[in-house]
Amino acid sequence: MQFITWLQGLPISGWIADSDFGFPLLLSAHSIGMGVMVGLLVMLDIRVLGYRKDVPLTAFDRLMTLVWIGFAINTLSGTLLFMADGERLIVNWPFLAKMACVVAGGVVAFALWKALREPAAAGEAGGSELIAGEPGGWAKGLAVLSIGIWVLAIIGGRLIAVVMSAAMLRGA
Amino acid sequence: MDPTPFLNWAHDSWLGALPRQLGWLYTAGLIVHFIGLCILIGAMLLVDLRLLGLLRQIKLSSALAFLPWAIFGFALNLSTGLMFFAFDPFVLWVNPAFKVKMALILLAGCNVAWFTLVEQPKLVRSIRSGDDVDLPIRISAGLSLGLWLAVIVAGRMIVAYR
Repeated sequence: MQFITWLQGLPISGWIADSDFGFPLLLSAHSIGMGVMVGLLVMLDIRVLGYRKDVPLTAFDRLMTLVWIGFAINTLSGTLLFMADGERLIVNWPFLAKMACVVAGGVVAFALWKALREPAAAGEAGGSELIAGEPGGWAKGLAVLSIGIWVLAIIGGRLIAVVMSAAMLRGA
Repeated sequence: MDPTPFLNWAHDSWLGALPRQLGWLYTAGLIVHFIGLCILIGAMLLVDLRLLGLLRQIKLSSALAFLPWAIFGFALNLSTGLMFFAFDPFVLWVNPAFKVKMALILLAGCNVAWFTLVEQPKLVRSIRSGDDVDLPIRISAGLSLGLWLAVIVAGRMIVAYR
């Protein structure tokens, strides 16, 4: 808690909280990062579930770079948003639930990506390749789970402000 | 032209009355609006990046098959967006960020219409895997990406002018 208070007292946090455009600009970046990262992961999920089997899974290899860029944008913008408003966020249950969902979504994305790969054949040098055939039941289950978790993360994100203004009305 | 009769009509319509009666409906609408955003941006990225010449492992025709997902995402956002407007038309009408957002959506819509009506039929006739597309189409794809990302920024700016 002391750490969060210290974070909120930093000049950059104060600038974000007090400026007219600090929050909206950071929230813009946060929304773009979400659209890129979650949007592409959901497209991978629906591909794994069987939509357009003529789209090769290998095409998503390059898209994963973009997913990482989206993740980087949101880690940075999310950290700055937290610095400016940490004391209220750390006691906000939708915020905590959203953080749990983001971690779970990341783990599921990793597990799915791993399930889509097969270990390199003996004698071949290093690494693994994306499977040539269609994903199995395990991968499809992970794809469904992934969509569900991101929907929950979005619900959590939207409820942060709702719960915050309810707390303000109570005078907390 | 005086917009007041139109704003009154929007405000008094069932679409505006519903979220005023059911408080949770507005929040539920926002959740759907953000889900629609993800679907729209994810599908647009696949289509536009392929048209721009990246992702050549995907056949042009398969990439274009993700367009219905973009339209689905947009439909979610159009219907929830109409509800937000009817909920509070007088405040939104004078909000500069809202005006910019609507103008950007109009431009993005014209871009999509031009692509699907003029360019796509030519494209489908000459489709071959790994083909590069003509410059006008690549410009259209670049515009599409830029415009939709700008729509997000303008949308988030609406609260700054409240």
